[in-house]
Amino acid sequence: MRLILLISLCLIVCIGRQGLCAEAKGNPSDDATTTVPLAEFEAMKAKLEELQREMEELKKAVGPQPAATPVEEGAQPTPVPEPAAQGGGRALALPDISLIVQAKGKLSSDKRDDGRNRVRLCEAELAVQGYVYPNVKADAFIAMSPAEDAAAQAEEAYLTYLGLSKGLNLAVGKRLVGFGRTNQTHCHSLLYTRRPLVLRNLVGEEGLAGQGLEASYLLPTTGDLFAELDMGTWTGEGPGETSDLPDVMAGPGANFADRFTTARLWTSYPVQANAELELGSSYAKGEAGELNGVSGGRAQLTGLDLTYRRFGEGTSRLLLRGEGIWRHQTDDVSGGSTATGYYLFGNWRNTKYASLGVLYDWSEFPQAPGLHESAVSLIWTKQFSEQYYLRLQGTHGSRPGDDSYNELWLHWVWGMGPHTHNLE
Amino acid sequence: MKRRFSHVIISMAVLALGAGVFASPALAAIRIVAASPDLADIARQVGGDRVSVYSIAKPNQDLHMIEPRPSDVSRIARADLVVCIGLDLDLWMDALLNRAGNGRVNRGGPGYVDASVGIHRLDVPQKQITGASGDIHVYGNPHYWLDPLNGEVISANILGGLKRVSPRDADYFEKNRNAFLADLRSAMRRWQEKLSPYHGCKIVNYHDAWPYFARRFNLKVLGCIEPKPGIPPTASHVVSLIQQIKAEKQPVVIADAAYYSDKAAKTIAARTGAEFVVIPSSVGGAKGADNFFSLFDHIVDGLVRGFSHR
Repeated sequence: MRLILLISLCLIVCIGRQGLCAEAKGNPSDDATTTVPLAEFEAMKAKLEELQREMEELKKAVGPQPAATPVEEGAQPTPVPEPAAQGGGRALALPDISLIVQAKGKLSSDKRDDGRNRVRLCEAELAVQGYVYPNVKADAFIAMSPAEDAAAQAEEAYLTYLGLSKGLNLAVGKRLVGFGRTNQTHCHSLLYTRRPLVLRNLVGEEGLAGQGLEASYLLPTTGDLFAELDMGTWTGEGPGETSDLPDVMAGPGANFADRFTTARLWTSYPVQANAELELGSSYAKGEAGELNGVSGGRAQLTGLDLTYRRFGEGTSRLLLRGEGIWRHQTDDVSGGSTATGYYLFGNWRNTKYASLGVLYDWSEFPQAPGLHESAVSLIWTKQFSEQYYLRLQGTHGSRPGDDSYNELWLHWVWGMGPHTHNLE
Repeated sequence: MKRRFSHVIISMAVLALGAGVFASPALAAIRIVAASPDLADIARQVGGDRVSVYSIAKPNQDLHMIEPRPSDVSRIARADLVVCIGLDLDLWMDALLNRAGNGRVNRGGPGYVDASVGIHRLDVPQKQITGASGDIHVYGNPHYWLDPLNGEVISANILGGLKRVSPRDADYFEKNRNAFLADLRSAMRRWQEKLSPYHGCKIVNYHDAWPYFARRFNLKVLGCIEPKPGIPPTASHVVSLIQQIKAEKQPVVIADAAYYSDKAAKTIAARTGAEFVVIPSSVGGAKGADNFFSLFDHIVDGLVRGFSHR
């Protein structure tokens, strides 16, 4: 508005000047002189120059304006902005910094559960992400959890070399390993409040993490087939977060003592323009930690997962997923034992504000052969915004010592700042 | 059991590798992957028959919440050029780019195009924004392709990318872009003529996606059904909108894409007499809106229908 006023003022002054000139020109006596007093003319001239300067400054401050009307045919094409590779956004040198916090409340009918009837801060995750070199990305996720021994620890911190050769990425550092369909998904991105029982008992309460290297190679397929092979070698991270449940009610996870290796083949195919079918198989092997007082054996994990996603208009989406895990441990004392489990999950998101899910779990316990647990859960998620959601999960299940327990979870997740993950 | 699953992994790997080894050789066309159908169509028009174009987002999908699919990774891995929306609307593209391991199209690579470069951005926050502001984009409103004249800038960015990845075809792409610009200028006159009787008239949208369009065609956005971007409508906000519309002397049109809930829009329309029209916000978002020009034909015709209703 101020700019328009100034332009108008300039025009008035200019028109006034032209009028004076025209008046002067119209004067037959002398067309090179004016009747305006010199002092007044000098004042007007100074004022005009001042206004012009101010207008230029304002123009610079406002920036370039788009054309109010279409450019005439035959005019010069819009010049190509150079360099085009620099974004209109994300222009600052700062990395992406974000904080995601989770709190959970649990009501449980099982009186052995130390975590029942409480609301607890589960985790605050501070993420710093950015590129440190062309095609080299750094991700660090610092987790702060009252349940952990350390006040804060690097949940993940790794460098990814993108496109080392065509289709090949290499990650170095500490991270959730490529095993199973959801192991690399952080808790706040999961579609349920707790990880499925089979993953908790046979893989890890907070997923299977390790320190080492992982290579991901996109197999050279054609058409729409996606096939990726991930192979990693790791140093173990122990069982992770301590469960609220007694030992007999929660498995030890993968329980690798030290070094272990992983392999995963993930394939996917768009069965329709708006639907995708994924099939994955995973394998992990390493030295086993102590189990039932026996140590020194080997542990192996194998997994098979199948996912179907169908997308509708807007944000609607149907997801169906099943995953089975087999854990086998051999040792010199008992020979060996196998524990298995699976889950089936369905989720329907009708709008971006809400989704409804059903989870069925079944799992054995590596430390207690012959025992198993199962549960069925109904999950409702209310997404208030991109930065805040609330989840309600009701579970009915049976476990050793309580063949009919009920749980009700309330799960708050909120976050601030740009936060991205790998493909989930 | 272990052997059985080792066999499964090995068999799957062999099958997948076999698919690659025995597959037919790739086509010579320059492979473009665009984030949205609108960018894909402009890329198609500039690239002509020397490009093949694929859009990650499908028509009538909410661009704020795209779930990338693994098969999209394969497409990006083979792409020569990737066209992103930018302004932090398509952050989901990063997950695909990172996974694809194709250095040519990663940020900073010759095949990476941010279509928003050079756009005169609207609604750039001038004060601190927090979650209380809703899902605000820090670099400004990202729905810039809804000003058709921004097609000039978008096509310039795509042209730049195409020239980088295929310099020998530069003249061909330049010629195509000039033809696109000529069509755009001609269409602009048509659209402006149709909407000129309604200069200063007001529209209400579900989501704040239309400021670029409104500015270009001298319309005014009276308000949005979302009280703040990304926040679902509340009863008090809807009542406030109803009062605002009732206070208007000129006709008000409630318009937005089909994938938003029409419940509140219909309530407002019923209480105020305002016309509610469904308009596509992306190429393919309505039957017949199959390119950048027919998209705006649909939008303009829909609004004209709404304004002239009473």
